[in-house]
Amino acid sequence: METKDLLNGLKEILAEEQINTNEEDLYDASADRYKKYAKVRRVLDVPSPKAIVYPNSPEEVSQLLVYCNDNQINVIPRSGKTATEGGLENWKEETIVIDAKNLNKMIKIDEYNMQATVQAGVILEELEEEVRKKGYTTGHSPQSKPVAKLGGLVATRSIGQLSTLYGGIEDMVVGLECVFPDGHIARIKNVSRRAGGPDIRHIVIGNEGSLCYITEVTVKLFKYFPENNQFHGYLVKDMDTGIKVLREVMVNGYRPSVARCYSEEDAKQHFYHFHKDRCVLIFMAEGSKEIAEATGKGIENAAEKFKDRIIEKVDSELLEEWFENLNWSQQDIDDEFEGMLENDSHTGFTTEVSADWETIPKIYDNVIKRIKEEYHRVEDLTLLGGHSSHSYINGTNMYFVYNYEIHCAPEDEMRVYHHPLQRIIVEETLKLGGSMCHHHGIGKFRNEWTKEEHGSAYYMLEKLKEAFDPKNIMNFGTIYPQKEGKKFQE
Amino acid sequence: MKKCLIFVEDNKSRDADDLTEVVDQLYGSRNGEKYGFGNKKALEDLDGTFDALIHAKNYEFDEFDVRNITNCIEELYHAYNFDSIMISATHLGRMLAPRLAMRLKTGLVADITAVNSDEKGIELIRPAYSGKLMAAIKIRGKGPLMMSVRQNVFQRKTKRIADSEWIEFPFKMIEEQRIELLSSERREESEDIRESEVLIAGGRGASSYFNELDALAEALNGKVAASRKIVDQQIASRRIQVGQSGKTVSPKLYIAMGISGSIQHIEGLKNIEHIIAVNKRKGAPICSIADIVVEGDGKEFIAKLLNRINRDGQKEKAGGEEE
Amino acid sequence: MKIICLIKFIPDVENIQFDKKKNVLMRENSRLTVNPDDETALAAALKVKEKNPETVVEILSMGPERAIPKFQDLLRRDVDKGVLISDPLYVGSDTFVTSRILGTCLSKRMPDCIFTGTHSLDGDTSHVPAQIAELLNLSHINNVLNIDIDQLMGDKAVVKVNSEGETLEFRMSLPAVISFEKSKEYKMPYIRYEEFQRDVNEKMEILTNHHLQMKEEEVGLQGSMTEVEKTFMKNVIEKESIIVNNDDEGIEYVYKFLKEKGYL
Repeated sequence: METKDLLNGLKEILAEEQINTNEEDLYDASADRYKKYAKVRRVLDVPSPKAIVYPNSPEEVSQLLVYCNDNQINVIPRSGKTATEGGLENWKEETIVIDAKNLNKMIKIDEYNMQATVQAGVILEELEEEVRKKGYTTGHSPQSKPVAKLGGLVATRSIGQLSTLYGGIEDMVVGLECVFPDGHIARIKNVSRRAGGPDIRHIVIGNEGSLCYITEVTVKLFKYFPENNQFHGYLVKDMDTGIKVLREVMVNGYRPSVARCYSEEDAKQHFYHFHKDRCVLIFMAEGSKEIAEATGKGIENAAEKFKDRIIEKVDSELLEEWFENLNWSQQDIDDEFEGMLENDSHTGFTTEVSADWETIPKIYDNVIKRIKEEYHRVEDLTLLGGHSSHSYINGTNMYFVYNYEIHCAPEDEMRVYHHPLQRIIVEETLKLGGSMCHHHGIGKFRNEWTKEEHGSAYYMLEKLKEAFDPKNIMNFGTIYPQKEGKKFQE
Repeated sequence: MKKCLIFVEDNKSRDADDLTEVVDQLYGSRNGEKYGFGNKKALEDLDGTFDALIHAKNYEFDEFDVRNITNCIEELYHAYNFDSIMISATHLGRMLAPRLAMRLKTGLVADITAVNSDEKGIELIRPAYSGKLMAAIKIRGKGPLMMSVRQNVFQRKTKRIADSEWIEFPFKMIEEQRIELLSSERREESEDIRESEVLIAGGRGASSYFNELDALAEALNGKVAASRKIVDQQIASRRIQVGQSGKTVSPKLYIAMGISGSIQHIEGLKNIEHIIAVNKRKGAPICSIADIVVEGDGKEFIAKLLNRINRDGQKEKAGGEEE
Repeated sequence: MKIICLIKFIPDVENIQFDKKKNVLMRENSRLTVNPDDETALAAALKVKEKNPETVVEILSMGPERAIPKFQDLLRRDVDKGVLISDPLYVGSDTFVTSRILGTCLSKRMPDCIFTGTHSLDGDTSHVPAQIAELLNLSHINNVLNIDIDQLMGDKAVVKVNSEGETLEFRMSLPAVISFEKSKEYKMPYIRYEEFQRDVNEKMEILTNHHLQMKEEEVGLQGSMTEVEKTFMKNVIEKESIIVNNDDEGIEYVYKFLKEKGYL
């Protein structure tokens, strides 16, 4: 389809000011934070979309999707732009980005029923600030909070720093509204729980834009008791100990909001002023006075049980200060951009996985060992480590972090550094039955392992795609492997 | 009695003067005869410090004419049989000394900062590995002891002697120059904070008084730098931002004013000799890597310190010339 | 025009491992990198070649066999030929001997110009380039910032030099030894991913003493004119911060510190 015809078609649905064809914006829209370095250095290898559009209503979204479905135009659903795994990357010549910018109303904050309803383009931090005024919190606190929007947060099955208490987004979503490629607008109503067949919300939560476009979300509210927050920190002998203490806290029924264990090198990044080359274990107890105190006690009991492998306690004040400075802001992102222009480096990459209690330490050890032995550029690594940051009664996650000096052309950076490292991590994780993506999603750069990740259950995912997006116009390349897209994955 | 030749570079007679201290430390103040060689006008300031001052008869060498200077010193060596030859480690010195050492087939120790001389022999101490390591070097072989000496480390301690013997030497080995100076330009002081030996950096805590940092920087002959928080507030330009996404700096002295010390900032600090952290909270992360932590208000600190520095300056002015 | 660049492989100076008990540097497994000044010199030579494609650029190095991978990495970047001098007999050589070994090799294949770095991050003596110039009876200049490629003729070179606060411009007779200081003006090009493993063995020559025929007593520690008696770390003590207040006593402490360390 010719570009001008494509644009003309859009003009029949939307007003001129809702269609953006600015070259710089289109270049920026062709990739997300995954290829941040190549983008800054202007050596992206993917095509730019033809336009970015800003619908004003779910009806307009519906019309847009029908138009794209009829004309085989690839659609990239976008809201906060904070994607880190290629979810927003464009692999097709004929693509439009549907941006939720104008779907930014906070529709209702229902205090009595503890629910907040917003459109997909509302920034999480703005919602959070609004409910805080009334003494509540959404409990959702990813590092991207100041910038990320609800549409993307739900589409990616995101999780926040306080998840061990409040859960992931899937535990917070009540009802939602979304639009399918055939134009159908589906509205899932808000109820506390029901058994009306399978839980269809889960077709939408985590679809990463490959099945539908989210337009509205309702999330739960929680009462906010910041005055009762308690920090507990310890320097521990090794990761194994740290994970055992985490487990002890969880299996005994406690739900701290923050429960983390950092390996030595990773700890150095955050806690160089007190980590003394050790692993750092951190907890935060939150909630009503009684709950916070009880949780605090639970944590102390767990530490007591492993006291011979705990080196020392950490001053809570130090932890509080650290926690306050954890989130990104738009300025962080802008600064990082400038930094990548000036220097041959960036803030590094991460690959994060999940497994049960027994398996996670094994995965951690296997990965570190294999990287040190096999990875051909191990001497360029300036940091290699990991931390566990989201725990459940039956397991936890492991966030591998790696920074490196970039000693190659910007176009080759991913091939030389991130991809081989990611491969080792994913392979070792899948080998032992863990999941290769705890909360970052599959995006486009782990889709070669999607089938292995799901095994025989992949059948169910596949059928969903066939049913809802038979013409494959929704975010081509995300989750579902595509032969045509392989060239962009090198 | 040991004969020591010290090379005197044009406009650097002070350095040559300092090298007499090296002679004294090596051989004792009465056992080392000090000969100075250079162009006539360079030697004038040294009359009375050196036992003998040698220059060429009817010839003045160009500063960068290393080959001819080497030729001259070789002739002098054959005439006087010096026990040691010392050269200040200037730009010229670092080209001359090795060339001369190869000419005389003798060992050379570069950039020495200390000497050890006892019954066991002579050891010359010098920095290596970008200053992280010190090495003690012994000389083997029979040739003269040769060394280049770091500037501003040694200072003459002995008193002046009566008169120097002036020697006009008729050099024969002077050849055609193969290097020609075309132009020279004073280098503009670089704006780049990476080239400064002293940095006064302001962080979020210094937002309200960031402009006062200039005065302190001037007093210490340094430059002002900023953390990201200051740049974000547009109080300073990104050009002076220190940190992972800004510039990596290695000054000798880093004074961190109101900087908490996030890892992104600390990543921009490499191989700094001395860190002073001025912060209202002594528990701020950056204090853990500081030599001195001043707990208090930064603005007050600057005022008080400048006061103290100026007081000293005034005393010196009032005191007059020292002996 | 033929340019030979002298390359030194140095251990990772940033992360040196020092065995405090035995008081020795742990060299064996520390990774090797190309000395930054030397890299600038090679980048400058490649820039000359870029402008004048008939230029031949060769590298010459003296080092252990484990430097071969890094050596080959350099060869992959449009360098015409590389000679690596490697012989266990040469271990322990000081700068005097090293200069003689390199000088011997160079005299057998005299180029129009020798590019080197000015100082190395580990030894930092700056001896070798000057001593090679002496042995080969050539002019030499340190701290070169820039070489004028347009004026680079068969018998002359024009360079700009950083000399203690001044920029000096010289014309030198070739052949000469031109020693660069690290600068952003000359950057080594990247090897592209597809080229990482390209076979460059035919460009590489390894020379031993068998080829250079130096006498045993002239090389290694035996032939050296200087010897390292011992090494020690500068800051052996783990320093603890001194905490002071913003009062007279505190300010006085800071003032004295600054004066003592030479900042005032």
